[in-house]
Amino acid sequence: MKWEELGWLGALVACGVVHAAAPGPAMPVVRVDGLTDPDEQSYRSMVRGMDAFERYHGLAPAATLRYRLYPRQPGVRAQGTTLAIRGDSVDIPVPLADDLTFTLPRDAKAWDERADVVTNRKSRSFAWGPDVRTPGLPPNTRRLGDLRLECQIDRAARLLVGFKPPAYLVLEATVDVCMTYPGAWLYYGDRAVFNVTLVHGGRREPLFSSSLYGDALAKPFQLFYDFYPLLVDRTYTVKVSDTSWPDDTLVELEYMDDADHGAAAVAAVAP
Amino acid sequence: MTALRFFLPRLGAVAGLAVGLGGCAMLGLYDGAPLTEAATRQALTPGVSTRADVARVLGTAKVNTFDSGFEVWTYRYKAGLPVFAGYVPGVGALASLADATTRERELAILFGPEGFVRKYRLREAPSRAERLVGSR
Repeated sequence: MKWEELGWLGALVACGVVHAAAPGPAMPVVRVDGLTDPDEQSYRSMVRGMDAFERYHGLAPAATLRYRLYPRQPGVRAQGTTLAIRGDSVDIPVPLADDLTFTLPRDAKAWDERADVVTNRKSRSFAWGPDVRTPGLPPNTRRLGDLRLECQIDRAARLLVGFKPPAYLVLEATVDVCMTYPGAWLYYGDRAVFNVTLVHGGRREPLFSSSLYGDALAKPFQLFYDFYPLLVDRTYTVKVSDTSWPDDTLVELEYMDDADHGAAAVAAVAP
Repeated sequence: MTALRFFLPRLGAVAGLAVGLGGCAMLGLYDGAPLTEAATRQALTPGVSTRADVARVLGTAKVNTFDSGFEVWTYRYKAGLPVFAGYVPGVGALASLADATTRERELAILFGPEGFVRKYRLREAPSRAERLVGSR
């Protein structure tokens, strides 16, 4: 670039700065957040999920609700992720825990302004989901009633991204799909899962491979789901509509990196 | 009567063939080699057995490979009559009964990124008949 051109450029920038500094009459506020296409969810949808938590709280009376972000794309940095409720005039920072869980306040103004819950990461960086936990459970277990409640919240907040055929949408609009849909609902383990077992009293039943890693879905359909690509090894599906398992059923999760405690079991049951 | 004389021996032969093949399947030969205690001991020593060791003894598995380098190999077993037996006249009912009363098994083997067996689990699901009784 020649010096002459650089001079003109400098003059233009200077004019712009001077112009921007001059106060104008009632100019609309344009907020620049750094991302044109951030990962966000509708605040109203997430509040509807909180309403569902209250409505179906009987499934997990001692549980509390938090929402959770799961990084689903390689390269998404969990550290430094921020969250805020943003509307036309509303801007409420939302504290994010180290495990990327958070709670949302109920705010009438944010509701009226149809605000969004916005991250500082680009769109589709995260899978969003409810995280319902009954306190005092043994390590590496979930409670089936908690998972059923998560299903109801997910259904109300529409957080789960996946392929939903028209037949499902019709069913969803007319009945309680969590308790009538013959399929299974998706869940994520805290880490990569190897074995998942339903346990109630003396009854134990493991999930088969068709219920792990999204294997029930054909590969092309997996691309539509949030668990693809990074959460595949954490994904398991539970048929929460199976009422032969009560809410107090424990879902035992054995992770890939857990120590091996049960190898001898195969020899014991093999014919 | 003539028709009966024609069909009965053939029906017997088909039934015999189906039951004979079913006998093979009773060993659990569906996707891989039969699952026996000796086979599992031979193929599945955590920290020692490799993918090649397992494939040699148990056959071809369904494989899930993950970005972390871990792999899960799965072998499904279900003792019972072969699927086509359900379509053979006279044997169909027997095949259905066998199918309804036998348990399904699955052996899942976890390989670490270094390629050795980390651990394995045998999963077993109740038969359809057991589920039916259990749900009452």
